[in-house]
Amino acid sequence: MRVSLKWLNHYCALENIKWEDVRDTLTELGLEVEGVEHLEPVAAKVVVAEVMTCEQHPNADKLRLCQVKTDASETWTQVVCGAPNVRAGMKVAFAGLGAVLPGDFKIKKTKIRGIESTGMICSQQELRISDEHDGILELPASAVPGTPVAELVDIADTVFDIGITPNRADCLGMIGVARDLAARMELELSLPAEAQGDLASLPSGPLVELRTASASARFCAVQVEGVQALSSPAWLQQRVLAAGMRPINVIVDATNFVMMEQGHPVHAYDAGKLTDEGFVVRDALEGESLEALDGHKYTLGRNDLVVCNGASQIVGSPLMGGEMTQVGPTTQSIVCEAAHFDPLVVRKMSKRLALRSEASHRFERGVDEYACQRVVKRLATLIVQVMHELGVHGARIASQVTDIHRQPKSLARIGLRVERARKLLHLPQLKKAECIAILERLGCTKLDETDERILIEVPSYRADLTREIDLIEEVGRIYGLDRIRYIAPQTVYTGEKESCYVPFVDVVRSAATSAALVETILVPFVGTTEYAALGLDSSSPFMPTIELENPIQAQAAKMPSLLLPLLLKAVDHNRRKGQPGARLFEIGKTYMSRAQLNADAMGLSYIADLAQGDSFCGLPNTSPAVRQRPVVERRKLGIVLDGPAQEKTWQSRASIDLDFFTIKAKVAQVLASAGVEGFRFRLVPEKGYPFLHPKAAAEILVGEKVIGFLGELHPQTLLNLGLRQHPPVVAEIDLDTICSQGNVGKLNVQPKLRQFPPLVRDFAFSVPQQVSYADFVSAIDAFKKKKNLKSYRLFDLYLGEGLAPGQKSLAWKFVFESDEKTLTDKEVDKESRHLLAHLEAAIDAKQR
Amino acid sequence: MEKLNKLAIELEQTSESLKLQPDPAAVEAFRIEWLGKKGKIAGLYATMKEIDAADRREAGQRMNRLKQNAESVLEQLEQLCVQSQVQQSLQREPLDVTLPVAEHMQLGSHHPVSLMRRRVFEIFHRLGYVVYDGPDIEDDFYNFEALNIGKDHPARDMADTFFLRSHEYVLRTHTSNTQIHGMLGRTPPIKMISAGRCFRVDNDATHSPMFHQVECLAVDRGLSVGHMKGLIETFLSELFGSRVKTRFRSSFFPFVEPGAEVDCECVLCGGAGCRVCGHSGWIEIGGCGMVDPNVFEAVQIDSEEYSGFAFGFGIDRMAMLAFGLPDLRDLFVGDTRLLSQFPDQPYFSH
Repeated sequence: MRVSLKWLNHYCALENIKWEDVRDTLTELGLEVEGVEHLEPVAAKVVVAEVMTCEQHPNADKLRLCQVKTDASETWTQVVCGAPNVRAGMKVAFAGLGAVLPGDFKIKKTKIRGIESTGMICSQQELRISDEHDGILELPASAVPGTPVAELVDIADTVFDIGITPNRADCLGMIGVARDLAARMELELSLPAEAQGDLASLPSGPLVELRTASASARFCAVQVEGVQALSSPAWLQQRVLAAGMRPINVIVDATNFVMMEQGHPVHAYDAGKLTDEGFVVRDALEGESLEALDGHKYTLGRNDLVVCNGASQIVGSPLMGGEMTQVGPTTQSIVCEAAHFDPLVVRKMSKRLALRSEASHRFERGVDEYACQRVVKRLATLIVQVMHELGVHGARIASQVTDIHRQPKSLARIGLRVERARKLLHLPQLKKAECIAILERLGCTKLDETDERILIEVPSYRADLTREIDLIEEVGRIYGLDRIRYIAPQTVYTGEKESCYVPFVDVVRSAATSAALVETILVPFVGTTEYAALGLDSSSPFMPTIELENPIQAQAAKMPSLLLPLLLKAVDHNRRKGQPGARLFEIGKTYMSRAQLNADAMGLSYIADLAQGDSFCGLPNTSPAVRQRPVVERRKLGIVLDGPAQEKTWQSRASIDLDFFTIKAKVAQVLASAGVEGFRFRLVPEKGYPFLHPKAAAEILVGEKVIGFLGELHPQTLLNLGLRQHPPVVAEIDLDTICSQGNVGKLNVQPKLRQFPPLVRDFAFSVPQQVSYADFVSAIDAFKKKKNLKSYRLFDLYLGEGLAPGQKSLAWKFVFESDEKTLTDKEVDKESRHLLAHLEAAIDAKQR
Repeated sequence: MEKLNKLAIELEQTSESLKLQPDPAAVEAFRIEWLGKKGKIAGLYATMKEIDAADRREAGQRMNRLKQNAESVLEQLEQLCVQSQVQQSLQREPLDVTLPVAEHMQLGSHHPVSLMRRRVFEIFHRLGYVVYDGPDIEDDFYNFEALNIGKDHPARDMADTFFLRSHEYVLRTHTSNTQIHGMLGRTPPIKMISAGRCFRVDNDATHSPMFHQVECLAVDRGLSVGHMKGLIETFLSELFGSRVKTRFRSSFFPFVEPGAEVDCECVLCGGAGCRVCGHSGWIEIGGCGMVDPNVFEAVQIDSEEYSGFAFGFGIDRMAMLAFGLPDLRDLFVGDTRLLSQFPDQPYFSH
């Protein structure tokens, strides 16, 4: 809300306080100043001038040629003026040479239609005094030529833009803000005077009937006659402008003024357009429409509220007045309204119609229902006063105030234990009297007190205060939270253990960064097109099923079930930015529907394991209901390496593309350095991973659980994504599965140093091509006569000439070592022979 | 004897000439020629039996001397050889040491938000807090209801919520849901910290629909605003490496009362006002407050016996401040040029 300091000054005396202090105090009170605007005074070199002569411009019909006297001397200045109201003898605001008007408009000597003009006679708008631009500003006859206009017309102001939190409906008006400031700065709060004169002798007010189903409503109305919708005087325009609205006419401006002052929406109906059937406030009928002041037609529903003239003619709503009874040039009498509606009804109506207004905002937050009568009188009185100021002397309040309401909410009575306030606020010296004083300055009434307790009645405009804690907060707020002393933290050992999951994620992150991967965090919204590119359709368990009701973009309305599409999007981003070769990882989440996973895992154990798993394991004591929620939310590590693996350098001649083994090496490195034990790989099953290359991709297993996949992308996927040039390779690993398997955080330590030298034997074998490396390893591990064989390593793989058809050659290095003695060649040779015989028998491996 | 004399002279001459240009092949040839199994010295010893018995003793001594001489010559030559190789390996054109190496050996890098989170957790670990995690997809109870944000509470408008199609679940709008997970079914004292992603329907230079928060909660007997201020001030001083000025100003969050916003003196300009702090001298850190009795009621903790405080702040913003990153959304597109600047090394310092 925009709050003018000059306006605020009417309710509490702030003249002698620096604007910076007011700003800081407001902010400390919870009325956060989010912006400050300084309104400049009338520009320098704009002075009072007297128009001495005023003649027709010889070359232009609409221009006048004036001689003006701008100081005590007898020299006159010639100036051309286009305003219709300029005349000889008038005192005007004259911008002399060198004056700079708002909008960086510099006044220079110029010729207009062949006549020299030295300066400018200004309108109110040109000086930013008001929005008035139809004629020039007329200054009082008593003004002395040469006096700076800034001395006569004070428009300098400071306007704060305050963010009002939803609990402070009362601060949607100047008085509420002033009350808080006055309470904190211990200033006197002066409210606008109540309406003068007795209305009792007047005819009774407009008829009002409440026919709404809502339990809470109030409607006050009063008639004002003899009005004209003239332009407002400058002071009123200034207030309206400072509040961020445009001046319209005096009646509309006055309603805006009162709303901004009281925080209570008010409305003025053109009484000439109303019948004498009176007002009916009722629930709208389905399909009825409201033609509102903004020129739009809104179709209403059964839960909306309308104000009618008689039973059927809709003339307004809590959100906005109706067009039909709009105040205009022909208006002679008006009905002023101040009402209260059920905040919830207004909120829903405003949301449904997408119609937000200053009024709806205030009704939603809740206006003071007890204030309706006072507020409507304030509006009527102000309009009459301003009319008189404009010389419309016939303006008068013409009726009593009608006040029809449902049972208003009774005022809250709350007990406050002073000791509790002391303890909670850490204000051991806080006195009971201080608490009372603070609460009274906020408008509370002390009903009773004992040694340590105070009974408080809360004013009707503070519906947010309902409990003792609310009063304690008010005491702390006005006292100043900033003045409360610190207590240094003391370490209280709770003995609680952190879930293994928490450090594990961090270990994985460090493992990935030390594997030269760059961490990324991606916004987890995806669309079906990304999934279609991966070759997935609704039959795939990887198809995302968690969908947002209100996405930012309709084409990214789903939560990802794979990190892959997000990472591939990042690859695309980097390629577009001319940054090929991205090596990214993300520790993110995937989201799947448990029901769907249970229904069809497509025989993929990866999916089946996810469906059975908990949603997350970083929480203590979480109830099974939470762990088995319908959305399976899992923490994943996703990796993408974008090609080329290595660009051509001065050292290496060719650029190298990525392949399955590049990503496998990366994954193995990350898992091993994260302390994950016993992971292995197997070729992906034929169905289930349509986005992976069926011959160059693998599932990753720990124990019997599939923890993820890795490999090259399917050529069709690469084609779909336009990534065929230097294709990327990918991996995704479910960290929660690893964690729940308990395969982490255990070290397999060889406690002793090597005592005796190892002996090494190299053998090459010819084996049938279908024997995998893993088969070979299993065969070695199954070697029964093993005595001293400690480790082995594949060092060559050969396919090609010199081998029998269907054969391949594997060359291994075997290391023999004893803990007890230095081995002899003879011993090792003997064991080697046994090994060779065993391998030939087991997997048909013949030594070459 | 004569042969012995001749050999002694020959040894001297050979060694002199070899020393002039020591090279490994010649030295090896020398060794074979003189000290090999069939070498000159061995040949000499073979003539021993031809020598008169009377002279044998002297001849033997002289032969031994000659052999020793030959051995010492060999040793000298070998030394010279090594020396000359050392010298030779220095005889080359200097390298262009300015040539670039191995662009592909780039370093890994943390996301700046991760770095900041790690730093925050380090500090809270030292203060005895335990890290919890929580779900991104949350139900109404944990995200709103238990946090004193009833169905029709206007504060629901503060958080522009993403709803799942089913409407039963939402993307959490804050990390405060972890407070409820942390308190339900537990007895104080509770000291927890949690960090993670949150979502709001918002998208401009300072708002991303996804952002990160850190949440801290302490519940015990006798906790007050003083404890809360002490903890936050200590935390911020640790984070920024020096004693920073803080400001607590009243504010409103439905799940705390009294509620406040915390500002700290701008770490870049020291409070003088700069572009980063919007010329106010203060940087908004986050919200805090004493746990609202209604929240305690929702998790069945007696608010007459226990009190507590909570605070939450945006880590993204802290990271942006710490590293001078202007646009929040840039952090979440996986841009390698931006993101590869945060290697795994001791945290930045101020």
